Amino acid sequence: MLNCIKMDLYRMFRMKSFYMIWIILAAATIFTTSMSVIDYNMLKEEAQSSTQTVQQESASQEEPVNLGMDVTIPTQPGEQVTLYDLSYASLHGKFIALFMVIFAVLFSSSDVSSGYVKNIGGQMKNRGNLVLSKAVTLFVYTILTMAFYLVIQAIAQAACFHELQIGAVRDFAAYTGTQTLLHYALLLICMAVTVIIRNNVFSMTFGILFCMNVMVILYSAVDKVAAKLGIQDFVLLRYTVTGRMALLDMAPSAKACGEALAVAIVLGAAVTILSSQIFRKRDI
Amino acid sequence: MSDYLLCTRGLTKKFGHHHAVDHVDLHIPKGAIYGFIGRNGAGKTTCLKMISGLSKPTEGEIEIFGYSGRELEHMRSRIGCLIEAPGLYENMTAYENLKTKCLFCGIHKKGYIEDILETVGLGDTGKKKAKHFSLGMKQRLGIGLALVGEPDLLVLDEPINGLDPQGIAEVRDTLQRLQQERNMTILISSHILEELSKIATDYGIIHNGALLQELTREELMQRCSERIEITLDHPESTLPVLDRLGFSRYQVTDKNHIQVFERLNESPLLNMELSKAGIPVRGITITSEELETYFLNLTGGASNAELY
Repeated sequence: MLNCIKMDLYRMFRMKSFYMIWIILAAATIFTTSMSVIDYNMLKEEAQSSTQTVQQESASQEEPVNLGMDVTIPTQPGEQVTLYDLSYASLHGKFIALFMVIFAVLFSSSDVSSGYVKNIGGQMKNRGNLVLSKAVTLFVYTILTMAFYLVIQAIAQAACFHELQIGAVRDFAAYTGTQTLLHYALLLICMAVTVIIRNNVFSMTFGILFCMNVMVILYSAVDKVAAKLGIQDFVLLRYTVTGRMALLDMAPSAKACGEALAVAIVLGAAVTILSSQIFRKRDI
Repeated sequence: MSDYLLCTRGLTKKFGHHHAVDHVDLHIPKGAIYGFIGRNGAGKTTCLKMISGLSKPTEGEIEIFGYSGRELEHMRSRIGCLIEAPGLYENMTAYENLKTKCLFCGIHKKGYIEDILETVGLGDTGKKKAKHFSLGMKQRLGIGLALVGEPDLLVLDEPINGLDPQGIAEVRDTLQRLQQERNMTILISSHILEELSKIATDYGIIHNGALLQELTREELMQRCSERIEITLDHPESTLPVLDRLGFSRYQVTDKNHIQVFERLNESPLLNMELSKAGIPVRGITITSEELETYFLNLTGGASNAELY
């Protein structure tokens, strides 16, 4: 198993897409940060010229989840934009997840699509370990990408806003830590989909649909069915990884973090075990 | 423990109602180069996949190195395989592809990868990525990957498919060297009979999922050599006559034929002696078979031949 992990880490760092996605992520981060400067300045001007206070959605309230991707900083006019605000906007909007999902699908499918798995698949006592090894490698990828993103975001903030404020460090750490685990769980789901359906196009489409909140339509339908069956106040979104990503607020309580982590761990473990078992039993 | 390095018993693979492989019993001696022959779709690849552990048999048993069932799972690392096209990471160099497999096998020996690259004739590829390799180079890298971990059994599925004569010769030389230098047992499937006949020591012929015949190179050569073929109703009745005339190399092939492999110019004498003994002879001819014809006859004639 350790050898498998070493092999997967080696091939991850040799994948061109690993670096290309990081480059695009960096460029997109710098671009969205520069756009945030414009948004922020416009809001500030509006606030100054208007007698009405700009009503922004409170960070402590549960926000409605809209279709599509929405990267908006939560900073109110007059406040300083912090690294936490910018990171929150990107993580909450599943902007970073989108890049990570693309890599997860490419990485998870590359050994099968290249046929390399035939060189090693027969030599394993338990072929399912190849999936577990990918899961561990994706964890390393998630941590590295999050760290890379935060560094780029900090640089972009310093360059665009001419200052670098981190924000409430404790909340930032709790929020980023929880989001990191939720992102990892999302990658595990995408890996499982890739392993199970064995089709890059469909897997990638699923991953992107997850990030674009399109699955909300399906979740709403399930909620309605549940309501008709007499299960009141059932909101499927609360039990999904992408739902938890969207619902986690800027000052997350221990309970909110705990619930999000529970969802991430349960779903992540379930899909990893399922895909591992399927891969073990399936012919290559 | 059996005398064979690999043997299968009733090996079967079904896809729905279709028997891709139907109760195949293979027997591969240690140190042999076993040519596994069959048309496209005969069941060669499915068989090799099961032997390599890439596919599970529907029925039957595989015994390798004397181990079968769950015990065999622990011995799988002693099998190297190249199934269908070589599985390579195209954006990696030959060295990096081999390094990936070495990491998987836990091999960190210095110079190990360079040795394999030299063995398969890719020592000078440097930083050239696998996607820029010729088909022959890819095949040889595929063989190189199969060699990582010093396997005792090498399973190669159509390794010379699509190669030019130069590429075929290179692969053939590599395989012969491996067998001679490392006493490696090689199971190689192909439908290019001429090439296979240059290196194989044993043969198995599969057709429509069923194993038709297993034979050694000597047996095959004997069957393809020039001979007197006598057609008659009771071949066993000729045996005393043949013995009396001093023939020793003969074989009753079926209930209507007997083949004599010596003194071919004495067929008129043989015909006369059989008539004298009151044995009605329906035909007596001198015949020989090309290797290709032999396989074609065995697998149903040339009408739908893909062997060449």
